[in-house]
Amino acid sequence: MDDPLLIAPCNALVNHTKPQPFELSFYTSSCQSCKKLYLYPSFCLMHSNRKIVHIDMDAFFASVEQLDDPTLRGKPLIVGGSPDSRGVVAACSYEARKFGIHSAMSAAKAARLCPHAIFTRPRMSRYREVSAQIMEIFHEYTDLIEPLSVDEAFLDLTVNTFCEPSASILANKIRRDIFSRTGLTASAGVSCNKFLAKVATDINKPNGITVIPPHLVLDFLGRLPIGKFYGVGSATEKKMERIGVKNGSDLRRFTREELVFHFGKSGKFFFDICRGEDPRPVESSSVRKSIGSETTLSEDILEMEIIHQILEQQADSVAHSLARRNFGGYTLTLKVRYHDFTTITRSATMKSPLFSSEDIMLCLPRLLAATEAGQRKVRLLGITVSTLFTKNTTPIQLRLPFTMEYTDNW
Amino acid sequence: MPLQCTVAKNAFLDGLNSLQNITNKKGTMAILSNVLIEAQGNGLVLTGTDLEVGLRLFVPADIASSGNITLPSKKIFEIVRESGSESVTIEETENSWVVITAGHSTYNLAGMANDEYPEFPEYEDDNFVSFESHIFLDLIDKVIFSIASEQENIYSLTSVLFEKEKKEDGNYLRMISSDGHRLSIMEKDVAGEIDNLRLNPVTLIPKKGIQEWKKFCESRDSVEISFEEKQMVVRDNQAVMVIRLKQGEFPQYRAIVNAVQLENCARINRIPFLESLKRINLFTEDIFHTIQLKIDNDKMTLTSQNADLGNAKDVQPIEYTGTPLTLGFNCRYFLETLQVMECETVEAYINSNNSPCLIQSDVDKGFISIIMPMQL
Repeated sequence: MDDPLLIAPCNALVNHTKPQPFELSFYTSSCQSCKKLYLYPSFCLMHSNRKIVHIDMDAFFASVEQLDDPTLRGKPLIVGGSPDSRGVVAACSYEARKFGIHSAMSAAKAARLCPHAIFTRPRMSRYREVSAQIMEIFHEYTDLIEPLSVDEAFLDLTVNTFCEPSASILANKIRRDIFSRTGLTASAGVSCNKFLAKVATDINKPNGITVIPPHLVLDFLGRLPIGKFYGVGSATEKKMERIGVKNGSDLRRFTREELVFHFGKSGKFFFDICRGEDPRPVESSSVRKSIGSETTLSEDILEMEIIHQILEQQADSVAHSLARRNFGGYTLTLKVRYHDFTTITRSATMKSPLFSSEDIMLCLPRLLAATEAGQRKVRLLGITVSTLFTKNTTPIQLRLPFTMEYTDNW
Repeated sequence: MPLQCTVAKNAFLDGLNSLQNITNKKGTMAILSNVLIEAQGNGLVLTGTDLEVGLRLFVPADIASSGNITLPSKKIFEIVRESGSESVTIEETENSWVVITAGHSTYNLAGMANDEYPEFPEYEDDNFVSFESHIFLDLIDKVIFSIASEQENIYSLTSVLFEKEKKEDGNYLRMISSDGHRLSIMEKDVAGEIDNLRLNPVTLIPKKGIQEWKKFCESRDSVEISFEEKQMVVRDNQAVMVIRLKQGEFPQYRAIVNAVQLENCARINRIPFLESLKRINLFTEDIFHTIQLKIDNDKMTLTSQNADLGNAKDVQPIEYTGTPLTLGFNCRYFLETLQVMECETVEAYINSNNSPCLIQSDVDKGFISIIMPMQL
């Protein structure tokens, strides 16, 4: 079950069928163990016994930095602007939070609160790379994923590839998968809609999980401070306080009409949400985001020459797909799975777009050099081009036709 | 012992000024935005480092009491710059605070103890070779503009490749830079004994190091340099700079140079061309600065188009007899190349609208610039 390869073929069967003429669509899923295909009418997904999981990485940027540079571990680390600029803290490690530092605080103030804090600039491309790895894990569970940012996503696990009815078991398994494959911790919130799942995540952060089962929803919301409600910012919060609403149970005393009178359209939403009703579906965008090719090798390979040959074939095939769709892409990702199944990805975003296999091959050496290919036996190789755009009349800066000698140390 | 010294304003200001780029790097350990001041003997030794480039320099001073301290580099620089007096006195008080007196002004400035300041890298004393500074200034000026920025992701292009070569007619030093779209090569014959320069098979000097090396040379007539496996050292008798070298490969640039056929040549007056490009650039789009270059029978027509503004057109007489060509280019690439050249007439070898264009001249000895066109 832990073997990601076992999941892959099964996963391929999971898809959403297009809405049928009768407006009744089906969500299909295949079971991990019995290989049976299940059909669920799509209205099931809107029902209150949905199983929605919200996953949020803990201090994501800072944790990635600490992961990549062991000397930063256990130290107050601030990712963001420099302390002598007007920059702000984008993220900070939990060690830094002990000093009262939080994100969006000015970097200068953070430096005052903790003079020995280490400041570093964000490396978005690296975070996106890790994010892609995490998304890949999510996809092993369901295709109903709604990413909110690089480090946060909603998953609808009502139907999942493991046929596991307990969302909390799944959420914990996802957190374990994330930790074992990336070395990073995540927190999870489990409940029956998006709003509750997201609120729940914050409760046992970091590295924790909170489950709000349906029978406790009303109780939970009753005690939830009004500021924590979805759609309640500081302005609305003040307005709420003025009409005497401090928490969910205060809000429930108002009729739908009264709330609409006070808050306009959002009033209806507040009326529902304080009763635990948030019908918003988990929406995975269906726009094509990447084009890739990957190959599991017939035997584990150490020779760089062969690796190079395979990558060249893959580059050809990716370039072909790009050309067929009239796409170009700015981001190149190389995936390497070693013989022991540990999988890594290395990616880079270019200034000028990639179209041809030459473009791809030119940018690959640097990514490959960041792997242990050639030192560790390789089991699987993959190339993906993302940040796609449709070719139009924009002029394109051509690259110098550099060739590299493919020596062992490239 | 608390540090206490008096230092001439101008000498101190010069010293601190040379450290500003190194110490004001964003996003490093807090201590690295400080300069280390060591007072001993007959002067101060100032040290700054961003762990990639380290600079240590001597400033004569009256030392009443020797000692070490680190002070915020930018702040102490500003204090000295704004002071109206001939000299500045620094006196350490408690907890790494200092009192700075300059004429009628007094400042209390918080420093940090020097024990957390990183050790200055050690280097070998042999193998230094002396060169006149203008050699490096010339080499650097001709390639610095086409070094890839940190975001570029091809190979080790964020560094300059440094090479030496013994030819029949003399000894040569060479710098090569490329951002993947253009390539600049500059070589110079030098009098110095290059045998003692122990270069790696691939010697890559990062952009920051190149910038600081240039700055170092600008205020000096001659400098000594030496290379070790992981670092290079530039020094004179007052200052020493250690630059960490980048490890990696550099693309086979010679293959590109050799691939350009030196046949289809347009001879263009450099200054009028430069001025024309500046005019045309007024109407290019911001990111790519795309211009269209049409060459046909002793005439070159430059045009640019901006969706919001309108368009521009400029005509230049040139010497050209080859087949008519229409090419797209990043205007900035041409501007930057022509700006560092000194000749009256440039030779531009253009073979097609998707092959590299090579620019050189008889006067600009050792310099080659290659620019890839844009596909319009």
